[in-house]
Amino acid sequence: MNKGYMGKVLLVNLTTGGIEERQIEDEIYEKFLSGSGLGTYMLYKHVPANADPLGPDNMLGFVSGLLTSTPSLMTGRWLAVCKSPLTGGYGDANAGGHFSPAIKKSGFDGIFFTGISKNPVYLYIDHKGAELRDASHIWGKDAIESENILIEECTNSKKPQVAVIGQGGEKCSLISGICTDHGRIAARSGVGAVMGSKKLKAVVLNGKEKVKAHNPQEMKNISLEFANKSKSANLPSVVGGGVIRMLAHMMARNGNEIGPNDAMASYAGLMKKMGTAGGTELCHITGDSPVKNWGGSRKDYPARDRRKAGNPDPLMKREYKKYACFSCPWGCGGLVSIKDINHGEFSHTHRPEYETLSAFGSLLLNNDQKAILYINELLNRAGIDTISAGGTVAFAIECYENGILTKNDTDGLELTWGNSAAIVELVKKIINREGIGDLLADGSKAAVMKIGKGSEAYAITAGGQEPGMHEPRFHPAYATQFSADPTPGRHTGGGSNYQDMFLWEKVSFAPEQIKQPKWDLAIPNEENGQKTMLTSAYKSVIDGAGSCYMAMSVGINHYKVVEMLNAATGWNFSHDDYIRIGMRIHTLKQMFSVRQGVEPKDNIMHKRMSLALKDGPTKGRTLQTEELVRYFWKSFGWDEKTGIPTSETIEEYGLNELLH
Amino acid sequence: MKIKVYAPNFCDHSSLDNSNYMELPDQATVKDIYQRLKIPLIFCPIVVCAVNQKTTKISGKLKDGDVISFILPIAGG
Repeated sequence: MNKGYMGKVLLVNLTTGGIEERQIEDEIYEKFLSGSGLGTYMLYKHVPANADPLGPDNMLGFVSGLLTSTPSLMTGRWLAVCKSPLTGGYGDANAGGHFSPAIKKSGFDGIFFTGISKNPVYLYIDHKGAELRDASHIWGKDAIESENILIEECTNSKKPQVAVIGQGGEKCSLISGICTDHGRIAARSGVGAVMGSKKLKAVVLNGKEKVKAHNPQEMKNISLEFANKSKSANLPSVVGGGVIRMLAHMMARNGNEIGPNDAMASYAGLMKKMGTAGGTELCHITGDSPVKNWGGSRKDYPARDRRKAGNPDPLMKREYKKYACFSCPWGCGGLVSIKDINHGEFSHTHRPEYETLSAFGSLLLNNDQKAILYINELLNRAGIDTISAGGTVAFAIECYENGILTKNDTDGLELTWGNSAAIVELVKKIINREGIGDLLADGSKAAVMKIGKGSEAYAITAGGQEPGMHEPRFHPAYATQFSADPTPGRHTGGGSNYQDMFLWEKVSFAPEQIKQPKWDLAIPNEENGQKTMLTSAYKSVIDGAGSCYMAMSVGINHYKVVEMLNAATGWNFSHDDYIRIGMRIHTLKQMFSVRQGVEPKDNIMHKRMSLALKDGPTKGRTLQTEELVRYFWKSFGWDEKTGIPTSETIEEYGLNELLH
Repeated sequence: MKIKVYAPNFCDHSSLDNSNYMELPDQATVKDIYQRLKIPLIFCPIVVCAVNQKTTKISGKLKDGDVISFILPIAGG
């Protein structure tokens, strides 16, 4: 098959031990691509209504991208898909590393599990076939230790790739994810809990299948062009924390306008040099980072704290190795030494992402960067989402500060803002489900159900998931996407980068981004709904291709995903066609959630996030979130009052025919 | 000549039209861009100019249709 995809998936029933290959028709790829599109299709076909997310009926998929392992760049992402136990609806989590190409080398576009095993098992695949193996010897071990053991156990002529859960997934923490590459994590939606509930410790892949594209030469040409642009995008050596701080203050003062922006070189330059961590203090200064559980402002987290926690310079001094995901010319990853922290318990950790630095920094008024590095490694090993963990700790602190939780409840911990020692101890308790940790291990929404006493005022979630660390009062597209994406709380819908994407130059129904006051984007109207819808649909295409969010952000003229998809498959689809594919995928995700009992309006983000802050660069801004969401739903052809896809829309996308 | 300029939001945009085009005389250089945008030349080492995605020296000559962007350690919304 010379179309980029493998044309088949593997179905594993963990209850019976049955393993079955299933062909997937070309038409399904044409309508849904691979990645999250194929994943959503499989979930919709196989998961019955109102399935118990931690029961045998839920399906957990590991899906590669359509472009992964073709001659394309930045296409090393894979997705875990399932019914989310955290939100009750469609759930996915996305990670890079080297696991995605391993799925395709196994001969499949996706591997899907149903049922529940009696004993802990792992799935092993090589050129001889697939088999379930006993995993009792690694059950109870953390993700990195388990990965090392499995690599040693399963290496033949080459090392396998491993996706594995840590203690978080094993103990069915609803905020747990699935780890690869020694501590990278597909973190969101509680996918780790679903894996743990199935007693599936790991998936170990060691296949050798080749991936063939329709026009590899054309793909190489496109990739070369992108590689050359990436190569020449370098930040000067003088750029460090001080320069970023200065530019951030200039941006905070003069950032009230927004217009089309060619950000290719800036994204590539920043990611190559510092990764997302490089933007942490910048986001604190500009008002993009949430402060004090989304209720505070820059004043509550002053310059001294911002510098201590968010300055990238100390992190870069610790960095001893850079690394890149599969097929990425940027390499935004890094390993940093932490031998000096906590008596050298761990030698190193991955350079924390911005999300982690903010979730355990400004959100908690914590200025202790060393504590954040330590927590980063603890959570990576346990396989727990740092965003949800940070949000849940913020919830607990605010409950404590307001007398809802006392020292008796917290096992003696003084859970005050910025108390890094107590935060570290609390994280350990969450990982091990000890005492107060057991109460918090399923996220803040579940904790509210147990605590009561008005604690819901401090559980800042969207549809049950703690949102990514970006302030909707900084960019209103976050309000829409946190509240209306089928995976609520998602910060990677791209709405805040519309001005960088230039969709209007290629997609006939995309409104042009003109220069305008930034806060005009908070006005609920057709155009703003359309813009956010378009980036969401485009993100579904990106997730279908297996491409990276950072590549999406540089714009459609630089990262030519449409041209690459056509060259890989031999299709001749237009940009409009692909956006419609993205809309179809998104619509099916929404249909899945609705069938599982989700009422989309219940996913509207916590009201605190729409209220005005008293200080800082976003001071006084309020959001009409429900109205913004209404226009977003309408742009997708969903009922604007309920968020449920209309029968006309379902018909337009041919979903009835495709699904029956 | 007419060139397209994607300028950082903290500089002076008054020399750009609504479609981000800037009119410049023939023989204009990158230095003229900095001056029109009122970016102090002392910032050149940190606000790096790219012409058609290639880093270019301040003395680099421009031609009609060039696209100018800047490599900054800041990006996104």
